[in-house]
Amino acid sequence: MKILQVTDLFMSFRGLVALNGIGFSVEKGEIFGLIGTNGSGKSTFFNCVNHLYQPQRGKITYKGKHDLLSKRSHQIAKMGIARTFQNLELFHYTRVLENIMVGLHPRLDMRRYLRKFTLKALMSEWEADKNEAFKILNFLGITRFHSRLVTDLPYGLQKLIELGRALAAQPDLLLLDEPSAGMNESESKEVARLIKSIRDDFGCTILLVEHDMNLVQSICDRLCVLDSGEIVTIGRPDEIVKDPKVIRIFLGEESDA
Amino acid sequence: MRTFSVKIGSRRITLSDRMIQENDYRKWWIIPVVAGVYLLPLFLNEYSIYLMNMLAATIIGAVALDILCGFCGQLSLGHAAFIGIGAYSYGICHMTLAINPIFSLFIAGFTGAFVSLLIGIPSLRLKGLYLAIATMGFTFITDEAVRFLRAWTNGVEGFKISRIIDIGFVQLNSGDAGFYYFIYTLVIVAVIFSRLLLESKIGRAFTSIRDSDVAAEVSGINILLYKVLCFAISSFFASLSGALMGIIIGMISPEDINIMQSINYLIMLVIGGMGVVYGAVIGAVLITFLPEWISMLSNSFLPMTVDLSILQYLIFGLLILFFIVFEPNGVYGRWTVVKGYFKTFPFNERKVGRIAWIYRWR
Ligand SMILES: Nc1ncnc2c1ncn2[C@@H]1O[C@H](COP(=O)(O)OP(=O)(O)O)[C@@H](O)[C@H]1O
Ligand SMILES: [Mg+2]
Repeated sequence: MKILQVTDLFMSFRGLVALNGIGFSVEKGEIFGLIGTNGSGKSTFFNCVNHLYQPQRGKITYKGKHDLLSKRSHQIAKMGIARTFQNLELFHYTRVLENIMVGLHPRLDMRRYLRKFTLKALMSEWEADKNEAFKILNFLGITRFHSRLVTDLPYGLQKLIELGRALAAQPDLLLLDEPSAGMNESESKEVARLIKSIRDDFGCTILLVEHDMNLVQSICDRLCVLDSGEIVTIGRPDEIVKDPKVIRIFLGEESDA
Repeated sequence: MRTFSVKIGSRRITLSDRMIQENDYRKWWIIPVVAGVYLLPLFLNEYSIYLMNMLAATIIGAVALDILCGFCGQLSLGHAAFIGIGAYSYGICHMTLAINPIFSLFIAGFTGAFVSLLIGIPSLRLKGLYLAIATMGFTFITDEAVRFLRAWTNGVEGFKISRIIDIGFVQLNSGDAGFYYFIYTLVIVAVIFSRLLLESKIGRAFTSIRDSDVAAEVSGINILLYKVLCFAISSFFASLSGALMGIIIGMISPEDINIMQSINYLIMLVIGGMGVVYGAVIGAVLITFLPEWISMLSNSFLPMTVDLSILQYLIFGLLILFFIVFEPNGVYGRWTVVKGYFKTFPFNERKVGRIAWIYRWR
């Protein structure tokens, strides 16, 4: 079953073409990698899926029936699409636990509080909400930071917290924008392991933007290579790395640098 | 749940992750504070009780602004307008239409909330300073509207409001200790309500809109809806506070609806600390009593020729400068730093972050 179907998506910023009529589809349960050089339009694509940007042309269909470009961002989130950002978008001046709990937002039903009449029952409902957040923190192994302000934590941890916030929504489709950016080798190995277990434990489909070719190769089921807003090729990782066009894009960039 | 152990001196204690929780939700200090508030009028003279009652109305107003500016990060200069609307609608309901005062208080609150919906839905699409300018415009409009609707509001002469309210079993005069108990009960309810609001799903939605509206939106928060809700809750309390203020002063006139008044409330938040409710309370206390302290001091130290109001503005200005430069988080923010220091005393590894308040209005 196709969870996401993109057709002829075109987006330009005052003449600068960021996405030039791209189209592909993502199967349910796979880890789909999106790679490409800087400025090739990967983050722009994510923003279109969230409808933070309004593309000029094209269609994004979710689960075969929802037209995402006719929905508002918060409705899209409620349909089970969660994401992280390339440059962190955390709630910096609140605690880690509260950041995760914002992710729970679509799942919490305030009305059930109204049916509780004793203080004790109310408190236990509230505890139950917090326990949901603690489950996520435990999964990521960062429980002990739960009452710290986000600003006080190092960048790598902040990335994890943002991931936790996305996970808390129990999404069906998770968009990760460069989850291992700014991490060292062992940390990014850890992230790779985490992403795999997210797919297995939470059963979500993952769309992944990443620069680290090793990481992408080791976890992705399929890859899509973007270059200046156009799809170069789509295929299995082992095929992609042998593709001369892809090698030219990536190695060309490396030999320039 | 993971556990780990720490060594303190020669003792070794084992903690589970959840035990090192900074927020203890059983706040025992509430009991002595509430008891103190209720016992205080026994030791006060008539003027002090009047002042304390004014303070109570101001606290409700400051907490109301904190819900809007502190929780949700929406900078508003229309606060005075809502306070005025509250006072006028209480006056009209109670004096002109002879509605029961308790109902009138509620009607005043809901009138404010309703008006905030009318102006909030178009203007909350604006951000930061633009919203401030829009709400400032609303203050001017309200001022003019009050002057214009002379038949209802008695125009520039001002509207007289009865200082006596009948709450069913007793009659309270707003200068008395009886009214003190009534109004401080409302204050305590308002403070507890807003603290619970802050800890709830709705309050989290507010704070997340303040910190990052993009992230809030992709987390499933309907930004416009929550901003409007926040504006409505804030205006409800602002109007309630205005109504109470009208009862205490016995009068409301269009001059009370000016942006200096709105700015005054913002100053309370800056000095007390924003977004935590307690900060608003501290700020309201300081700003209410500061003029009293200044006049007390100047009576004993300065010659009579010094103009008090100028001295007062001078000291206010210096105070604001001081807080903005040295402690943008206000008194409460400084207190959390001190508290964090003592809590972690041997291991000061856990720092309490400084919050740049300018950030919230970017
Ligand atoms: N909000 C924006 N306004 C103008 N140009 C933008 C905006 N967002 C992205 N772009 C441009 O679109 C192109 C693609 O950017 P982006 O999607 O961020 O690339 P990346 O693949 O590195 O994530 C870049 O040339 C960038 O400058
Ligand atoms: Mg990018």
